[in-house]
Amino acid sequence: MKLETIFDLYERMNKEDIIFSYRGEITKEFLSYIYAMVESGDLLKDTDPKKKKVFNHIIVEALQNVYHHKDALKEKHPSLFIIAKGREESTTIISGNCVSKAEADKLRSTIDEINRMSSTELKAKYLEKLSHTSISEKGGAGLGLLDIARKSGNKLEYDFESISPEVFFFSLIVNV
Amino acid sequence: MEPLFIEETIKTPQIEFNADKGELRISGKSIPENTVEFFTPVFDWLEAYSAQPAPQTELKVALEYFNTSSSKCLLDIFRKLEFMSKRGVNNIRVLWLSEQDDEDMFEAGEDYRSIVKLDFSVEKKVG
Repeated sequence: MKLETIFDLYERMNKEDIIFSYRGEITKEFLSYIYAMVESGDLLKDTDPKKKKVFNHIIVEALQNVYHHKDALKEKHPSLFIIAKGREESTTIISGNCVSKAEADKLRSTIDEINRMSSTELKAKYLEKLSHTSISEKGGAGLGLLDIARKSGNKLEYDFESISPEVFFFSLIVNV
Repeated sequence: MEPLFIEETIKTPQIEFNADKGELRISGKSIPENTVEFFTPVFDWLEAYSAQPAPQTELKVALEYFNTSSSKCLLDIFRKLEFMSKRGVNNIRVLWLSEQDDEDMFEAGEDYRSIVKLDFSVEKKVG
């Protein structure tokens, strides 16, 4: 890394109001570290307890989504996790990871479907999935994105950037 | 039958199951990456317990929060009790406790109550 890039990076992070950022593999150890930071309140200070709980919940779901898919692709790609100050006192939680084209298509339609639902529909869908699906081999119950949308009370924002014809970088942006 | 005790960690809840008293307690947080691995001994214990249950069984769940894959495992635990009840085991009761100001956890309890057919109370902790 060039010395002059450090200051650029610092300025950029200031501008975006980044509280925490990580690029690398999402491991069990990393998750434990984040949970401990969340628990101690070190990641988000001066927030009311209710909002903090929602925040914790979304971090857990977003990161575990990435964790459960980390071995889905043949080649390894670093993942991304960012917490930033958002618009009007909100906090933005961003997770990013590489997915296959098929997974990208599936995620896009799942998230679009979730974003079209009202809070009542989200709850009904959650209960339906909870009572009728079993935990996948990867350990997830397929409820994560629904739950993130329910808990945040906001639409999920996302982006897919093509890395190669078969691999896409998926970023999920949640405002709390 | 041996009681089951699993100490709470930052990712997993405390489990205190006592077969003699029929007292089953789950408390703390449940956010492990691999919920099936964590809950397997719990299901195994319940399986054995269902063959020789105490005259009264009370499951008390007092969780601060849990991830979505734990939500599935919790439902499986309730289903297990529901199955015991259908088979004629009487006096099975579930008590779901949330903190006073925690509407999300209270609602989660009500969600479970609507899904399973059990004597299922959802209450807020007193004091």
